[in-house]
Amino acid sequence: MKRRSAIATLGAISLGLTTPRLLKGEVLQGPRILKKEMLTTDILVIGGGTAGVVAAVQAGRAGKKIILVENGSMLGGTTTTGGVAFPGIFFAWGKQVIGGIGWEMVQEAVALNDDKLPDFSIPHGRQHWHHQVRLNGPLYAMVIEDKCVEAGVNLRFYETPVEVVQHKEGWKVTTVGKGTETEIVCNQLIDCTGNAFAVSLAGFNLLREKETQPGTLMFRIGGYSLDQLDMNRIKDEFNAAVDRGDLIKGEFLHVESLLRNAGDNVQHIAGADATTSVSHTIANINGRASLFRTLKFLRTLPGLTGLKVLDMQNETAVRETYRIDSIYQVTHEDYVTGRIFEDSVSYSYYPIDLHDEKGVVPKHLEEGRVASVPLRALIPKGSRNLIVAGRCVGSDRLANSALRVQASCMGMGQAAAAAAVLAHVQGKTPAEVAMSDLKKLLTEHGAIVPTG
Amino acid sequence: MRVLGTIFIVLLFFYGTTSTFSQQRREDTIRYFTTPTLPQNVADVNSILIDTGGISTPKDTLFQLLTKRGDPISYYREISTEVCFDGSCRLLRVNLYWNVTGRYLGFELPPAEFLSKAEHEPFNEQEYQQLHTILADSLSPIGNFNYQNLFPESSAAEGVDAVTRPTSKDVLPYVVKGAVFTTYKMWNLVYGQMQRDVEHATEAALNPGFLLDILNSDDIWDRYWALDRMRMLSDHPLQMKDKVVGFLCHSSYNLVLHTLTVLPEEWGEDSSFQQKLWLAFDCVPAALEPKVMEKLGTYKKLDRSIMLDITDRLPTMYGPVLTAALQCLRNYLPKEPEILLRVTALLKHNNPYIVKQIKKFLQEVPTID
Ligand SMILES: Cc1cc2nc3c(=O)[nH]c(=O)nc-3n(C[C@H](O)[C@H](O)[C@H](O)COP(=O)(O)OP(=O)(O)OC[C@H]3O[C@@H](n4cnc5c(N)ncnc54)[C@H](O)[C@@H]3O)c2cc1C
Repeated sequence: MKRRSAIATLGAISLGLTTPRLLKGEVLQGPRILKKEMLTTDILVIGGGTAGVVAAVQAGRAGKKIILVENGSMLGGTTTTGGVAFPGIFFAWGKQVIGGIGWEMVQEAVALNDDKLPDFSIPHGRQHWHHQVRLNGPLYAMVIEDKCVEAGVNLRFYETPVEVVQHKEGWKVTTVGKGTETEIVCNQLIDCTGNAFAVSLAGFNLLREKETQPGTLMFRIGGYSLDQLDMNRIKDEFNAAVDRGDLIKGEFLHVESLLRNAGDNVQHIAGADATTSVSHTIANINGRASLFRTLKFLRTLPGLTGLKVLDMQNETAVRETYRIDSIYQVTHEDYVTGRIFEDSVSYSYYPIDLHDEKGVVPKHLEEGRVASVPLRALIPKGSRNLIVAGRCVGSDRLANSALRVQASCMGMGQAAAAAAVLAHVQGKTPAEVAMSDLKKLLTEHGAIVPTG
Repeated sequence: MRVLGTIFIVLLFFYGTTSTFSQQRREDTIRYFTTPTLPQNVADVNSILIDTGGISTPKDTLFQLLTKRGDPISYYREISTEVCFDGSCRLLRVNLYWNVTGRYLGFELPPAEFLSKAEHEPFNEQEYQQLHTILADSLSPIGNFNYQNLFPESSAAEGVDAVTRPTSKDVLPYVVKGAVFTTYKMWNLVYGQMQRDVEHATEAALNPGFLLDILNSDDIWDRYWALDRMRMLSDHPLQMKDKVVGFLCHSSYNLVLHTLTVLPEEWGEDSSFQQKLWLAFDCVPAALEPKVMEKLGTYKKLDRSIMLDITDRLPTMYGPVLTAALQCLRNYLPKEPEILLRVTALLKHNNPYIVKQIKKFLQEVPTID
């Protein structure tokens, strides 16, 4: 009896210890248990970047149940989070070559910002950037999110796949996020991570160059007046600092363009790779450290003592990581000769644009040439129910340096999704879809399909 | 007030004897011209006094060349300004010509006059041509430079064609070598206040026939210019409307978009115009189809046959075209049971996204009983 009452008292004491007295308005939240969920969907897109949002909207508008998993906090990828808000190039030789959902979203953002489109009927000559469309990045992020929601896309931010295995329905993809672990069973899987991450998890080989193109942390600076600067002296001092090792050679190739452009796309971070948390962390730290170092140095120079950072992106934007080992690899020759394949699903138009430690000298296409993307370049060799869109398209390195640009990625996004939709409807894999069906679906949704 | 001076006689002689402007050159006159907006059959010259706002020459003359009908066909200004080479200065005398739309037309040097580079070395043929090409480029990056960018060294004095000092590398592709300041100066004269003076003078002389002449120009600048000024006229004859609607089938995306943007709302009151616009739906770039539909949707009363056509095509429409088409029909549904029925039939569409869209749309049409 005594013992029992002692235990009861103990219980009361421990209860008193673990249950805090709640103040008015407070509620008690017990220890969090990881929320495990199982979802099924027709189509799963991994990566809500330049290509991924277009893919998701296309699938949604074609009436499919669609989930989009994005490890960041907003849509748009390199265009928005990376700050490369100048997609190109939608027009070639006076004619629109990439339209559809990507263009719809771009021009809506342009109109909402009271911006003017470049005049595409005026040839860009050597200055291809005249035909790129300058976007208000945050506004674009809102436009595309709105489009996704409207198309019924189930958005899942802060999530990443950790396992991709075959399933009788197609694929079972396990994702983890903040407080979540989710098994998503889908029929068709579209990898738009830019790094072919899901393809790799699914057990397929990827290709990578020994040395990849550098990444760039986009930023804006101010607090100085260009006309007041002694540019020659600044250049001399800058070069001397690089020679001394105070600044890292190659990070900012031209201090003059850094100052003239007030930041923007002027920095090179060697080896920047966004594939894993570890590699992306390094790329981000290197990008920010480079800017910080340079900023502190520039503030010691006459005319620049008031230099300030006005804006900086959250991430170092990454140009090149992995490409898929696809059924067909688009070659440099294919690209520069403007080859149209029987299974071409979208166009691509850009100079060959390989950045290296010396910068970039774009090689323009000959007049009238427009390259194209065959469906086979979007499909990993030997895969079923799996397709990619974006910069990881199967291609050799030089072709990829042009194929990777945003308008091309958007075109691929729409095409990949259309192929996945048809594959789902017809019980096939994307490679088996008839081109006539694919062309029909794409054109109905405003896309421009190459003809040759 | 119209002044017939000696210059008129000279020009009459000149224009009367040449039909095209490209690279024409009289014996001792250096002149370079682009394709004009309008045929240059000059019958008269009007001198317009311009308030320059300057101290030494507060007034200057803008010469307006006119047709027999009295419509402007081009303009010129007699420029006289100093250009200096490393301390020594000389006068730059040149006549700059503009089209009626303010587009650069050409330049002409007074007889026996020539342009020179550093150390007074005269321009050669190729350099004149290069200068002409630069002046014809309204988007030339030279417009973004200031003196400081032209001469990177802080010692460079304003207005000097520096040869002994290096020209900024960025500037070089956009100027005649050794004549940086001359190029810069002339480009800025062409695209500065003088261009606006020309535009204002043409605006003051606009009439429907004249505007149609400008719309007929093959130059894209001229077309935009004329499209933007249609609202300045209250009378838009049928020929003008047809010309403008014709632009909708042009291969230039920008021209089509611009045309759709500036189409005067009142044109839509006429159902035959609506029909023409609806026909254009099938020739605009796919990305602009929704814009045609949106335009039709702004008209107070849409022609019934167009409504029925749109309704017929609804089952094959997707995305923004479908959204715009539904909006276009929206106000008519309560009084058009046949169309309403066909819209409602889309609730059986095999695409659940469309079904959702139609459901939402029908809920938002307020006056359906
Ligand atoms: C500095 C720089 C300058 C450039 N300049 C231009 C230019 O001027 N014009 C032009 O058109 N193009 C330019 N490009 C190229 C172009 O921007 C990119 O190649 C293109 O945006 C890539 O699109 P994407 O859809 O393949 O990848 P991204 O847009 O990068 O999208 C990938 C998305 O997937 C998400 N993701 C990645 N991994 C995972 C994961 N494991 N789980 C979940 N989500 C994931 C990312 O967060 C991102 O949202 C430039 C690129 C860079 C870096």
